[in-house]
Amino acid sequence: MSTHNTEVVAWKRLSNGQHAACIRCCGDQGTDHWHTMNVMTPEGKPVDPAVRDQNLAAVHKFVGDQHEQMRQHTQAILDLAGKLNPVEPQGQP
Amino acid sequence: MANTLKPRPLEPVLAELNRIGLSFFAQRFFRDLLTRVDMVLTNKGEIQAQANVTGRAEQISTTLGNLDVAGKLNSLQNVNNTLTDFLTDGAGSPLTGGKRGFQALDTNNRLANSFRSTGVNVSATPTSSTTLSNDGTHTVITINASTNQFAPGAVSYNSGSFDPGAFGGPNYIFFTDPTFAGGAVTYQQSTTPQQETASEGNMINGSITTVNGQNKTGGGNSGGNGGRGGRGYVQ
Repeated sequence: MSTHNTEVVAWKRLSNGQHAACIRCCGDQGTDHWHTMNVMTPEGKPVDPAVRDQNLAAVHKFVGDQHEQMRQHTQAILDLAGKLNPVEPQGQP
Repeated sequence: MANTLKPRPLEPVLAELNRIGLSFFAQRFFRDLLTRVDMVLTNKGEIQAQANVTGRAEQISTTLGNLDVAGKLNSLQNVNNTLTDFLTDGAGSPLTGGKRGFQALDTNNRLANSFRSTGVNVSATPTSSTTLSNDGTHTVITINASTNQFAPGAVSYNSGSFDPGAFGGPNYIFFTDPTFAGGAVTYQQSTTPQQETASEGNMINGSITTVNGQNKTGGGNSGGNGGRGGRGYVQ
């Protein structure tokens, strides 16, 4: 499995008070994943920062894992394309 | 048509001028003056209808025929180039509005396709059975990368996530994509379902209720085991 580097590339505050961060893997814009967070729980209590950070780390891992799946899927397609188009021309000894 | 008027006979006039002793140059002056005046002016000092404007082949009555007494064009039928590109849009922007209507409506005066409507009013079916998930360990709700099938075509969206900060629900998940562009979108959440339709560009993912220690799914075209389906599907 390749090493993946995720980072927050954008941040915004939504109209309902929630915050959102865009997480990108390996600088690939196609992996952009917006993670939205509550500041207050539905019960009206502040979100525990430790829980918030733990969950954010889990999302970073998810984005990296997803990018790895995309990479393996793409490689599988390329491998299949290579098998369908042999390098040597037909009929040669 | 060229000017059909003829000047008066000049020989008798020139003969009289010569008799009274006018010089040759003076006689030629009166000859030119009478020639021009007779072909252009009336006794009242008005311009003859048959006169031409220099450089124009038609008589002046034709040149001015389409103007009224105030000098204005008497009808839009008398305009050569009727392109509206030369017009300035007026109050209410009828030209701009007409262009938008032409693009958005079909020949039956209906929307040309669903993408000409607002997201909150368009039906779509998620191609995945579920789009929302929670592992029961973290409070984060994952919105998987998904595709919505609209009548004009399918639109794919990147994955996202929402962290309510606590287990429970239902969590109504939605996002805004007013131009049906797809790609990376910011997913929002509300505990009240009416927020899903509170903005014109909103699209609904469905809902999910999370439980500590249990895997839950939601959204999609089945609703999973923790919520209900996305737009167009009623659980």
